[in-house]
Amino acid sequence: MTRPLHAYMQRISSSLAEHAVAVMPTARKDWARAMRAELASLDVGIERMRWSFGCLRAAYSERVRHFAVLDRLPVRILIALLSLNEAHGLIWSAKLAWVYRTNPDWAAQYLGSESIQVYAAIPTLLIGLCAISAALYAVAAVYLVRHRRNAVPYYAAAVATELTSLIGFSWVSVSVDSWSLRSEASHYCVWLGITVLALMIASHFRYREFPPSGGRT
Amino acid sequence: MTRLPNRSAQTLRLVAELLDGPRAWRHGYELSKATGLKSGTLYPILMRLADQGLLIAKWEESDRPGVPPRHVYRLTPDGLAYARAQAEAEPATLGARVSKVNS
Repeated sequence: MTRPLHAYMQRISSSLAEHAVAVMPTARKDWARAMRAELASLDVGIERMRWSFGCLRAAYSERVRHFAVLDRLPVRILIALLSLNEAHGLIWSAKLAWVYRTNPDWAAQYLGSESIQVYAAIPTLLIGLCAISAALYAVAAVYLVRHRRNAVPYYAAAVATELTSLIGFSWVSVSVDSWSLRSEASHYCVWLGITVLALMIASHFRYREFPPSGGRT
Repeated sequence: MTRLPNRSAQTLRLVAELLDGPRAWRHGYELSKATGLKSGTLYPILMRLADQGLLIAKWEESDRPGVPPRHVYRLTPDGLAYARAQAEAEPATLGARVSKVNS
């Protein structure tokens, strides 16, 4: 590694570690300082970079965990309602796509002329994926309200299934030449928002059940 | 519902490593190298263990001039008891270490 690049990486890794100290919640500052102190004993550029990115990850993870907003029932209920709203949207899409096959006139009153082409071309698999994703969101919402960590795998599965169905819908839109950037972007933005919430929930529950009661007896 | 203790593979690996030399103080980087855990994974586990009173941490002055003090860690008596309890539950990971410590 050339000397200027090495010096540049040293500076970046030091800045990242400093930032980690700043981000870490006050009660944990000493741990961030400990991570930063380890950095001073590392000479290899790439190793320093890896270490400092780890510091940053730990600091942000602690920062999110210390929000502790999910300990409050009203917050959990609010997120659960958002999830149920998403589930409702997915069920509605699945219902429209399914009914369109049997009763196009009924479905047409809810669909624009461009959407009709898309809904006509949607394969059954995608309708099924939407319904599965909606069910997963609903189950995840119930677990979240009850403050159970089972919410995490259900949210992960719901988010993944919804992404798959979104990609499928986009694919169908492109194939029938009815692709609308604004419509697709809004769907993916909502999905991104839900994903961020799911990550927050995963982070909240990550160490929630840590107390090693078995080991203390 | 009774909450179960965390028995993640990473926690067990770290506890196993600390159990290897129960009286020795270990640096974070040394533990990271020995367990293969990255700093972003290692430190949150260390924090949790310390919160539970299973791990003790202290600052240690460096021998090298200009190098700041470093955090060092080792298991507390409660931590050793926890590690041994885990060893009974996970003999493949921790059993060998426990027998080494006890001998």
